[in-house]
Amino acid sequence: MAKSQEQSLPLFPDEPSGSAPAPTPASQIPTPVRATAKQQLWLALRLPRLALDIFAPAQDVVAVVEGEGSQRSLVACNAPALVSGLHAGMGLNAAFALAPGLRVLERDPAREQASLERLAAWAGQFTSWVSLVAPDALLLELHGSLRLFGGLSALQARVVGRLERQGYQVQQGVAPTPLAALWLSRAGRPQPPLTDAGSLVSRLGHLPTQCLGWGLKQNEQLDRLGVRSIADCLRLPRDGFARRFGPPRLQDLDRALGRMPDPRPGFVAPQRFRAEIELPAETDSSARLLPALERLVEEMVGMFRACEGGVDSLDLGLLHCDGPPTRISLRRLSLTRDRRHILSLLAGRLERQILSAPVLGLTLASGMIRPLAGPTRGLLGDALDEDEAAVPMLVERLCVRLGDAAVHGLCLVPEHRPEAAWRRNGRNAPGQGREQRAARPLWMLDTPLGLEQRNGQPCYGGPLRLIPGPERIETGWWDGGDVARDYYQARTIHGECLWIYQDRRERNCWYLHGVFG
Amino acid sequence: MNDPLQALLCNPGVWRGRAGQAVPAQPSGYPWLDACLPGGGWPLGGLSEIVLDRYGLGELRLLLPALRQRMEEGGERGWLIWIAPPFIPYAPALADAGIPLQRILVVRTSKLSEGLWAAEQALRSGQCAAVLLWSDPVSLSAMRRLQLAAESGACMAVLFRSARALGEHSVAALRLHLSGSGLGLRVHILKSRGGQPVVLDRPDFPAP
Repeated sequence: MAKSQEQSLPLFPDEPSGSAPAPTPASQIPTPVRATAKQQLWLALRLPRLALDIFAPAQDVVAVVEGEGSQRSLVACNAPALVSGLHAGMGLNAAFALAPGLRVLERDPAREQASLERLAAWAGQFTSWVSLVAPDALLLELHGSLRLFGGLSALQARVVGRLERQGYQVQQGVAPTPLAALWLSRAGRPQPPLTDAGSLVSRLGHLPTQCLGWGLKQNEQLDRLGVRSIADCLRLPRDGFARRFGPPRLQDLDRALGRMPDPRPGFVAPQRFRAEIELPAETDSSARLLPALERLVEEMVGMFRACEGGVDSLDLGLLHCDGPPTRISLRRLSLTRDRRHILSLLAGRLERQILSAPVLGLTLASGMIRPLAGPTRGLLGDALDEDEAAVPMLVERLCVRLGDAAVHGLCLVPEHRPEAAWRRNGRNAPGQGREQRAARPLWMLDTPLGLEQRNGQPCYGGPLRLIPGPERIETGWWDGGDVARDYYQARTIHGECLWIYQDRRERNCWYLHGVFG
Repeated sequence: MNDPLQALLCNPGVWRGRAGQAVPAQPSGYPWLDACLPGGGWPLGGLSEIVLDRYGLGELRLLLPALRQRMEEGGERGWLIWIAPPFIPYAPALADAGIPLQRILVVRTSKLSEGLWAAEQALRSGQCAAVLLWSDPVSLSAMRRLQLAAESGACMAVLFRSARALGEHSVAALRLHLSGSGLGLRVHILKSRGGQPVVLDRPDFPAP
C-alpha cells in the first residue's frame, strides 16, 4: 500500500489521495533518525495581531493598513472593528464604507521588529533560551524551566497571561521541536500541548498545510496535488518531494519531526532597555498615558528579570506632535526591578507633570543594567515573589512626590559649633559616640532668633530664668565662621525649656538657638 | 455555676470596660505615665495625638525612651520618620539619647496634604518603628485615614497638634494634652481606649 501511494501521488496531482491518513512508519523515510541530544520542549508564541498591538490599546474602531494607492488594505483590526464587520485583507475603501469612523494607522515593520525583540528580551525571564522567528513569533525552550515555575500549564498560563495583559493577542503551540511548536501555533484553534516526541507524526499529521508557512504559491501547488494536511505531505516520496518543492522544505519536515537537528540561535538581550510606544490618539490627560506606561514597564522589568539585573536611572519621554519631547528623569534610585515600585514612581512624576502639549507617544529608556541579586526564598519553596520591599522604596516614593531636597537623614559631624555638628546626609563620622558635654536640645532653629531684652536680661514672651553655668563655645576662627558664645539653658514662665546664647563679641545680643523638646 | 457566666463573658458582644482587653503597647519608660495608659504604654497600631500649648515642654523627651526601644527591637525595620517637624531634629542630642541616627528620616513638606500623604505612606510601608507627624489643622477624615493606616502596621504613630485642636473631636486611640507652667509639666490624658481621663502633674519631669 505504501508503494502504491508513493507512485500515485506525485504523478497525478489532481487525484485526491482518498485514503485515511495513517501513521507513517519510520521505515518509509530512509533518513536516519537522530534523537536530539537533550530533551527539549518548545513553546511557540505567535502574535498574529502584532501590527496593531504595537500601538497602545484603543477603545474606538482602529485598523492598521499597508500598501499603496488603491492597493491599500487592512492588515489587522481591533475588536470594535471586527464587530463592525471589518477583517484583515479587506480593502481600505470597503472598510470605510462599513465603518465611517475608522481610524487608520500606518503599518510600521521596523517597530514591529523592535517590539518583537523587546518581547524576546522580556521572555528571557522564563527561560534562558529564547529565539526570535521573524516576523511575528517567539520560541521559548521550556524544558529547563518547568520545575521552577511549577509545571507546563502553570508556566504557559503565566507567559501567555502576562502577554495578554500587556495587550498582545497570542497564539501558542507546545511541541518537542521548534518547528512543530510553530506549526501548532498556526493551527487557528488552540491545540493541546504536544509533549511526547513519539506522537509528533500523528499529531502534526492533522494540521492543514497552511500551518507550514511556506507561502501562498507553494500552498496552491500542494493543493493542486491534493495534499491538504501534513500527513499527506509525509506520504509523498522523499526524492520526488525534494525535487518539486526544494530540499529545504523536506528538511523542514524532518526538523519538525525531530529527525534532523534544528539549532535555533538564542536571542541576546541588549545592555539597556529602550522602547517607544505610540498612542492610538493624542491625549493631554496623564491618566490616559498609564496603560501604555504599564506595558513599557512590564517589558522592561521582564528584561531585567531575565538578566538578573536592575537599574538606578530611568528616562521617560513624552512625545509631542511638534516641539521637543517632555523628559522625565529618575536618577539615583536604589537598584531595582520591582514593577510596581517603578510604576508608582513614574506615575507619581507623571501625575505632577504639567503637559504643555498633547502627547502622541511615550519613550522609556533605562540606564545601564547592573547585576541585582534576587530575593532569598525559603527552603520549602515559598511563593515566587518578584517584588523586593525595603525602606529605600519608601524614600524614593517620598522623593519623587516631594522632591529630592524634601527627604533627608541625620548624621553627626565632629564639630564644636552646634549648627555645624550635624549634616543632612552622609556617613556618620567614625569614632563618634556620646561625648562628655553639656546637654543639647532636641530641637534646633534654622537660624538663631534674636531675643528682645528687658533690663539687660533676655526675654521670650516673658522674662527668662537662666540656669547657671554657661557653656562657652569659642571656635571656628580658621574658616571664617568663628563663634564666641556662652550657651545657657533657660526656662520661660510657661514651662518651656530653651537653649539660648549670648554672643560674646556683641555683649548685648541674646539669641534663641534651640528648644529642649 | 460559673460556666454560664463564663460563656456570657466570652461573648464578644459583651463589653467589659477595661478588663480583659489586651492592647498592644510600647512602655513609655516612665512608670507614672505607663500606669495611666491602657496596655501600659504608647499604643501600637493606633494613632496617638499629642496636643501642645507650645514647643519645649518636653514632648520629645516623653517619647524618646519608647522610640529608642522600638528602633532597637525593629532592627532593619526600625525606622523613625519625622514628617514636617517645626524645627530641625538635632542630631547630637538624638545621638546622646541613644537613638540610632542611621535609621532616621526627616521629611519636609510644603503643604499639609503632603505631610498626611507621606505619613500614610510611611505607616503603610511596614518599615517604621515610629512615625511622628506635625500637622495642624487636620480634618476628621484625614485623621481617620491616619488612624486606619496606623492600624495596618504595628508602629507608633504620633500626631502633634496645637492647643487649638482641643475643641475638636478626635478619632485617635490616645489623646494627650501637654501644658506647662512654672510648676513643671502637666500631662492631661484626654482620651484613651479602655482608660480614663486623668491629669498628671510632674514638677520633677527630667530636666534636659
